[in-house]
Amino acid sequence: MMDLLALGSAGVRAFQAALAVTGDNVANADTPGYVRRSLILSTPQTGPGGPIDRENFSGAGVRTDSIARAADALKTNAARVASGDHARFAVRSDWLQRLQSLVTNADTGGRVGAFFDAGNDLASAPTSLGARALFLSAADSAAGGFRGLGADMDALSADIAKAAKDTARTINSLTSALARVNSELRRTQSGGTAANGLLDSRDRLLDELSGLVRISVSESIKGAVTVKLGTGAAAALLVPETGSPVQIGFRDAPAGAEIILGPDHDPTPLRLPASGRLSGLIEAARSVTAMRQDNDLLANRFAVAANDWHQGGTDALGDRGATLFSVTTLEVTAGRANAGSAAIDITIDDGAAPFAGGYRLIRGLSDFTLERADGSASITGTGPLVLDGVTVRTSAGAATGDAWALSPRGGAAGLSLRPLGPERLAVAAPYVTDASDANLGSGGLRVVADPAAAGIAAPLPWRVVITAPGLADVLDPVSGAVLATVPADGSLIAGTGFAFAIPAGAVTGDTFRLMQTGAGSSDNGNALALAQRRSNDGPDGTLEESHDAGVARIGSALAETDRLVQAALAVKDDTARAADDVTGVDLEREAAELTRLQVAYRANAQVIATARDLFDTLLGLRQ
Amino acid sequence: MNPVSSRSGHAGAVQRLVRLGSEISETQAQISLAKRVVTPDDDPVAFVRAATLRRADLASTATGRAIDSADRRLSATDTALDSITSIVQRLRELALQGANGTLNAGDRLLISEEVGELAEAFSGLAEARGADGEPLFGGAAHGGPAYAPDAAGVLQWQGYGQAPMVAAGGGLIAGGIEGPQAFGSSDAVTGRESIFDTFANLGKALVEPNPIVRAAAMDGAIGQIDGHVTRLADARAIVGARQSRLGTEGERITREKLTTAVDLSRLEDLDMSEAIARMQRLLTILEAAQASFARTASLSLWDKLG
Repeated sequence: MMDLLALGSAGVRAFQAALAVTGDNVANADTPGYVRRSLILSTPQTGPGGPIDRENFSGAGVRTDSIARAADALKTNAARVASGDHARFAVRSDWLQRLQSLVTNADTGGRVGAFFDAGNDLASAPTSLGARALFLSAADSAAGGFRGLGADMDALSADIAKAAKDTARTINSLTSALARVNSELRRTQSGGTAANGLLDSRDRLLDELSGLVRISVSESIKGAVTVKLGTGAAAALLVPETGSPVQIGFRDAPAGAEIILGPDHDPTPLRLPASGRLSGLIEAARSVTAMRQDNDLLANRFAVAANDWHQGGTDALGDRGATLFSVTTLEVTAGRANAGSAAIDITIDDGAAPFAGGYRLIRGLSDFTLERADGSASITGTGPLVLDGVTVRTSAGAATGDAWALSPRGGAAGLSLRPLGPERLAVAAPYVTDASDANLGSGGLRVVADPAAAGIAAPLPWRVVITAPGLADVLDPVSGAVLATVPADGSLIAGTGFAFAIPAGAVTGDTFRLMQTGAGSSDNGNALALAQRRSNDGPDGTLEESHDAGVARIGSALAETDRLVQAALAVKDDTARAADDVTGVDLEREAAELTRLQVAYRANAQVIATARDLFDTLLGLRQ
Repeated sequence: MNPVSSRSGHAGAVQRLVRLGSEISETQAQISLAKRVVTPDDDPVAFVRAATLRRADLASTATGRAIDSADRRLSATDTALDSITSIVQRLRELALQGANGTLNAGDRLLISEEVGELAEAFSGLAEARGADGEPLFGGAAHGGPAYAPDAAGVLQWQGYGQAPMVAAGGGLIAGGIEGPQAFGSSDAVTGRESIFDTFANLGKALVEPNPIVRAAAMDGAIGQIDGHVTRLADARAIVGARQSRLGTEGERITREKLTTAVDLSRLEDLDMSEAIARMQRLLTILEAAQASFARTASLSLWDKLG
């Protein structure tokens, strides 16, 4: 009878506990990372039934064994991998989107096109100051397009690097937390509420970590985990089962962005992790770096082509064209140990060539010293410092010993239009020729620039007279002296700095003139030659085609990433649902469970009531 | 059926609704911009192709402007040559009159005065300038004058080179004609005369007292004038040919621009009726999904407990 009472009370206690667990499940139905628990009930062992034990016929009752978590390591792992994949592509898509909008908004292709179109307009109005000014502003806009895009992408790179460093910091704090959870778990008895809570927070940390970087997890007794970066035997250890975690860092190395292990001591570069936010950031950083290099190359190509073109013409004052764009600027890097906050302003004189090795600027006790990096020249003073045409101005706030490095930078950042007046635009070809109206033959002289040519030395102008079929005299038009006798068969004849050809169709008696373009010419030969530069092929086609190829590269990378995001999202949803079906709380099931347990509880209570009735019956016998 | 966790079931349903919503907003953006390809990732190939087409279109527009300005210059040249031809024809009439032996010295003086007037008008036209202020017959010389008197007072060409060329249709078209090509040039060795020489010679011949010398000089002048008329006609033919070439190129560019516009539209433009139908379909699905979600989410065993 006492046994029956004991059985009933054990049952009531057990089902009360089970009801509490179900209530806990219901309460945590919306808690992320909460894993559904269930109470494991078992029958306690009865006595061994030895000679001094009373044979037990009444059952052993029930006892609460442990609270089990409905975890499925494989499904959870699949969900983690999928969420890491999704995070990787989503973050890559996010940054590529920004890169794409920078590139399309900068519209360098359109600006370069406008530059060439302005050249076309210039050819149809070679002497118009308006057309010249418009051309210069188109040139400025093209240079500004490259420069602006370069600066924007520099900023984007810096943003990505910052995001990656933040992510690495988050990873480090997560691994530290995991290491703490590991040590807590070792000290806690498993199966209890405390241990289950720790396991929940362990899983939450692992979920969060796997969203940032690909990890592989192995679990030991009591649930302490070993976390490795990536998979496979050679994967680097991130969190050991015991002891402190290994820190990771991010750096934007010249060869491309990378993850390093142990950034503070003994940094070791790692392979790109297969998934996670960090790998998405690194891929985005590499895309931006590639695009920056593309932009720099394109800017250089544009500058070289435009400068070369412009130097091949003659300006309105009769001088040979100067370079149109300057291609170098100085980039200031403040020393890491600088204590002050002075701002440095640099101007480079037009046409000045900064020292290729760069400069150093050092704050003395009361003055600044600007010197070439190799120490071959220097200047010290308090006012603006001028060296090699580079003027450095400093604001207040520098501390003694502060230093700055000034390194030359070409590419997009260095590209700028030189301050040329409209009259300095070399629109005309350097040489001009005409044929007498009395010529009976066909064709005119053809002149090509050839800096190496060193033939007829007499200065221009010349008169060319065909003296016999295939033969011509080059005459001084004033004195009539014969300077040279040359073939008139279309072959090139060297002058000084140029070569010319007499058309094979010329007949005896035909005369031509060949002269240097002087000031105030309305010739448009050089402006027309710009169209030729436009169609010049480089490694990737013309300048504009190369630009388009770059845009298409970003566009297709983004489109592909977006497709991957969609696919990864579907997988993520599926695996998360599969894992959640095991670990998550289904309220309907809990409701059913609650009913079931309630019934069992009532039944056990009834057992107690029955026992009491039996007691009462027995007690009633006495009366 | 597997039990479905309430949280993930709910989150999944919401996710699907959100996805529908984003699809709708994307379609809406396409409809409001009337473009299918907005950014490179929409369709990288089409985007680049469209950029190329737009560039070609802008370049054609620039070439069109160049053709227009060359055409204006050629038209101005033709107008000037037209007036010049009338002057030279009048000169020929005067020369024929002057060669008539029955005229007396006074009549010839009158004729020579008219020749002088014509020479004035003629040199004015030889200095004619185009709309951009450049001398029409000066070649590549900017600002002019195209002609200036030499030591003997006869106008000589001061220009050099050729009038600015236009790059169109893969070749260069001269946007003008040089003075000597229309008016000839003088050469003492071969006896070649420019129109200016002929004016001066005719003027001198008309006042020449010696009838034999005069008759020979008049004959020579008439012969020269005939040559000039032919040369002027040739020059006008050249100008006309160049204008017609420019016209052809201009037409080609207009046609090309039209084709480009059609191509661009094919690449970028949205099939509006398809997009609107898609939008309608998506909206219907969204409404149905919302309604069914609201119904199923409110069903619960918990309502039956108690």
